[in-house]
Amino acid sequence: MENLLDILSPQERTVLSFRALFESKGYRRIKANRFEEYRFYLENINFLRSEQLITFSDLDGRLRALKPDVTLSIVKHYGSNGGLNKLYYIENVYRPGPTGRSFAEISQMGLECIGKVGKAEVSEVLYLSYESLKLTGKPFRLSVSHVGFIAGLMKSLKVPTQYRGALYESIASKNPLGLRMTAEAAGLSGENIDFLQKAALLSGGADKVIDTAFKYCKNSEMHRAVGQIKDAIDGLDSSNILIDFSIRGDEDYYSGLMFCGYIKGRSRVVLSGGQYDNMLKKMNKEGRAIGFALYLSELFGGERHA
Amino acid sequence: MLSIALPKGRLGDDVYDIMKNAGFAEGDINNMGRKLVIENKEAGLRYFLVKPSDVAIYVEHGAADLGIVGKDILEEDRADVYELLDLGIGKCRMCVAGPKDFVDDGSRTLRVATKFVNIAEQYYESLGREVDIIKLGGSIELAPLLGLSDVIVDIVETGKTLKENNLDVLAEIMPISARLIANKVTYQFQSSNIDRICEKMTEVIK
Repeated sequence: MENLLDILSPQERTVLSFRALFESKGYRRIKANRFEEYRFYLENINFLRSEQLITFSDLDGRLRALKPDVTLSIVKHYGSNGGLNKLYYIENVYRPGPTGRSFAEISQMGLECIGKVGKAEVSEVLYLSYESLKLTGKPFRLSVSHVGFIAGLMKSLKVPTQYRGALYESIASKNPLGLRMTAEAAGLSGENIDFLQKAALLSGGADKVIDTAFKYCKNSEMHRAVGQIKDAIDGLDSSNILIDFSIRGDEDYYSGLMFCGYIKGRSRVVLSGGQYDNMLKKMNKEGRAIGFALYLSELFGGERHA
Repeated sequence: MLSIALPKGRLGDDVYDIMKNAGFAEGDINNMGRKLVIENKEAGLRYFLVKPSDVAIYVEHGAADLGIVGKDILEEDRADVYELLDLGIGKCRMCVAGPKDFVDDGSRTLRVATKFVNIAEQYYESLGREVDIIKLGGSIELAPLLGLSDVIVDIVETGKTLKENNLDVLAEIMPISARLIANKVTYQFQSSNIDRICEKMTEVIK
């Protein structure tokens, strides 16, 4: 029984190493409900990656859904006890699979910090997401954004509200043509369209881009956003950090930093997270929140050929 | 080495010419013999030809790092990729077409025949118009002639086929052209390389 760890697969070892990392910073494991009432997800449908859920009628007649997401359940159960909740989970969620033809059981690990969250906790969560990617032992990138940058940019250029959705879509796909066409339709001047394109599609290594991002700040909201990014990535090896404002999050939920993790050789994002104070407000809870999810199915799925 | 999925056919040939003019390729892509993939080691690029409607799938799933695809397919399949550049070639329009004298008076559900189900659905949803979408694989122009549908949603290049069948463009949904797309993960690791390719291609197509 000496080499008990030897029987673990590399994937199981990686998950254990994530757990050890999270627990070393005082996070405790929790178990989330397997289902919630359907209307709970319906009320928060914009937070979910897909509107499609697996629903069923429970024995008492209530319409329920297999959980498509864990964060909502965690906020619902832990979001109002007044303290600082440092939690993590390993759960399966049920969402449309990558082909979009059928539902898939998706294995996910995640970490949430809810309640009295300050600057130190925000930095800690970003550090943990960075270290999680590092633990995979493969080349990785952590891309960081902030909702305030694009939101502030749109306000400073007085983009009419009805055009903002289409602009966000073009920014998310780094599509300069789509962005310009929408900006023209929204009545922006040529000069402002050029500036919008330059600022919104700004991305690259943190060390190179952060100063340019500061230069593009047109108001205090944008300035605060870049300042918070700078503070949060301070101390992390900047060669693996990118600034990328194409990372998208619904403003009804996300309130600050947003970030995504990528592993070389995988075809999709393996980690995503952000500050979601607005979700707490929406659910009538006090405090602030930040967290991230690691998509284990993506992390341990088939490798791409080089 | 970055891999690029090109669409088989004229569009793929035109793009390969752009790549040659940009100094990223040489030779004739149609003379590959039995080879399915050609490499240009100097440029660090690998090309392969696939069915036009499959390009975005290859790129989204990471089997290709970059790809050239029509905006029609991109919009219809809603692939999760970066859309980096409009190549300004393969230009046409996504349109609603129907009999010249057709007037939609809103008195009943409109029957729409199309290959582009998602684009048609999204368009009519934005207008708040209730429609029955009839998915067809080809010869869309036939549908209103045989009473299968009231109108069609399809690509219009010159409008010649429509004219020959007594159909007319009733509304334009969006302009279509070829786009350079990139896999989102590859871009995080190779952004400077990909941006350089975009810049060179932009210079050539100007």
